[in-house]
Amino acid sequence: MLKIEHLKKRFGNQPVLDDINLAIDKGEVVCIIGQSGGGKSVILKHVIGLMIPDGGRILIDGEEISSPTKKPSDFEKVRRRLGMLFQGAALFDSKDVGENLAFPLREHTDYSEQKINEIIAEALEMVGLQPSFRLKMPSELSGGMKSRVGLARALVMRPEIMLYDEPTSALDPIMTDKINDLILSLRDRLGMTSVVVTHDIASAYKVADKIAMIYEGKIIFAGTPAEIRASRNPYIQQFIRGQRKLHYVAGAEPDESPGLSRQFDVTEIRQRLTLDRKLRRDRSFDAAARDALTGLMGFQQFSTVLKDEIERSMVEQDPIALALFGIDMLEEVGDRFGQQFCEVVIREVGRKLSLSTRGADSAGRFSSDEFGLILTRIQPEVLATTVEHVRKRLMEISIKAPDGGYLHPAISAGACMCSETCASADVLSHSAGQALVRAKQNGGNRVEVMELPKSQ
Amino acid sequence: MNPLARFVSRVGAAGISAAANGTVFLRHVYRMAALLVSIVSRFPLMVKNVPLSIEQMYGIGIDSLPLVSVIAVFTGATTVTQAVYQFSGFIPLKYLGLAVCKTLITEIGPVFTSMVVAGRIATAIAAEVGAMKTGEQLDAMTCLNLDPVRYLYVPKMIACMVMMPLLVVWSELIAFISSILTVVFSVKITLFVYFTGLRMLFNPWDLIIGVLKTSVFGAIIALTGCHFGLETRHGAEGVGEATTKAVMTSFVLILIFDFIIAFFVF
Repeated sequence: MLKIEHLKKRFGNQPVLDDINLAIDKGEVVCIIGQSGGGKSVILKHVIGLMIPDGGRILIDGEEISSPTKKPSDFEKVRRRLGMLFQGAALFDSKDVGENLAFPLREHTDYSEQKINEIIAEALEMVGLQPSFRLKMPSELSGGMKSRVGLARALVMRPEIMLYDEPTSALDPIMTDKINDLILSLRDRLGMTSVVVTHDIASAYKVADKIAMIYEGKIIFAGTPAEIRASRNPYIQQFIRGQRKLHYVAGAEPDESPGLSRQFDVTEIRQRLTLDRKLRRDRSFDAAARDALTGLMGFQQFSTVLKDEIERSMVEQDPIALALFGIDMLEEVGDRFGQQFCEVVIREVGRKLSLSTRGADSAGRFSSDEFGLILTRIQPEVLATTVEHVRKRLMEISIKAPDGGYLHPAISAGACMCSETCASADVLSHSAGQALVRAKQNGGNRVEVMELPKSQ
Repeated sequence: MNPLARFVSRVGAAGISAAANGTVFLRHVYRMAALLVSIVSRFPLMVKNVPLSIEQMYGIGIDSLPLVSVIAVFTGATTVTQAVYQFSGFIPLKYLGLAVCKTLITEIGPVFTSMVVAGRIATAIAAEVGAMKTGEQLDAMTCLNLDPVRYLYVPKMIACMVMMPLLVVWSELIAFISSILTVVFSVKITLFVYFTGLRMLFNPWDLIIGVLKTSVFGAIIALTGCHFGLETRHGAEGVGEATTKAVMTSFVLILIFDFIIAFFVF
């Protein structure tokens, strides 16, 4: 129904859209996701004629509606088929809700006031608002209510395609869910085609039939929510997991059609969602289960998370590894400066470790002088360098000793990849422990990587 | 850097800065002219949206009455007081009415009232349009096929052009009453002498031009308000900047057009 072909737009010397291609079928809900300032809203503004493209074109039912040769006045006819909900709803401040809704009807139709009132009441009912809301001023409404009224205002003209610009960006989770339900109900009730621009990945999963991700002015992915979750494209994973940085990802090249070749069945997707929920629950902050000295997860909680991560890695075929870090010669340090100073060293190493991990990785205190780190989405060929990188960061610590000097603790590390045959957290912990022992036996202050035993 | 090179560098920098400011000035002139053309070209459509103009007239005209009245009271009183002081010893007070009349109806009444209204209305229009722009309300209007020029700017301009002359008539009336009261209580001439002076050399054309030119001032107030509102950038800070520019520009333009009208008409 709506087709965007090779859309290009520059603001000054800054290219914002660079060859955007997207096809949207009738009755489909398509979410366009991407980082803030990535050009998502610019796409919508081109569709509705608020901007004229520098290149490419946009078609509705095969008819070209936007191209560099079109003028703003050419959009009057096509805008009757489109509705738009703006980020802050963009209600007219000087008019009450009823006047906001009646304004386009009075100007573009010959309806009687009675008919207009009926349409307004119906639109308010569709968005779940009482008819009494029509007398309220926009300043009296909450963010969620404003969004609903904005939606109702767009609905009174009965558009075929609804464009949503960040409809849930400033809303609390409950109101976000209500707006998402509203988008779905409009699709089901009116068969409306919807294009939703958002960076709220949870909302996109909920409402989208298809998700398109924009990156550096291009659509780098277009597929179902299940497909985007399975994508191995590092940028997509970084975005949907909300990670701050791209780390440790082998082969971090954008894949043109990531995940599209994989097929999933419903059971597998349900299993994955269940695992995700479980992981989120278990990872929630539980003060009692945390190590009092370092603030990291204690051994028991760390083991539970490790088991869950192994399960998830099996289902998603998402490689993980376990690295153990040990403080070399801690006993000697204790003998020289006392147990209290040892605790200071352990606390500082734990704090540094928590600062050196990615958002999706999990760190915990494994034993008195050992720390564990679960590395997710890690490839075997970069494991050693990654662990060495973290080890070096831990060794940046400088602690003032009681004798006035500064202690730079030496750290040994052992790591083990969780291969496809890895079915037990104990086996993985044992192998990583053996690697750590070997690192210490070989003089310490180094990294050793071990493979899982073949029999496992 | 040697002194010659420093001098050339400073002159060059000043030249570049002047060129940049000149470009900005010309851009404003062009955009204001284009906006004026687009507003005027939509005047005929206004017959379909008379209530919008009436709504604006109420806000611009009726709501300005208290401010204009207070200003007019002191304008009338000050004019008399100043005239008496300037006349003393040189000009007979029988000409007091003549001086007050000419001053109030040709310049002080129209220009002073327009500037006071500009301070209130040009800022209000710039703030409203600026907030609507940054809040995407103008885009929302466009998406609903509601032309902002027709539904927003034209009513404001018509309201300003209609209400300014009425406000000036009201203002001059109040100023004259105030001047009479000042004469009664503080000047040693009779009301008969003062009224004789008022009627002396009274030319209705002065009054008509004085009132009608405020319609032009009204258009200036609406145009600068809309233009700088549309130029608003960067949220609340930008709105503040737009209002300041709107009121300053409207003051300057009012004085420039007052001179042009005086030059060609009188």
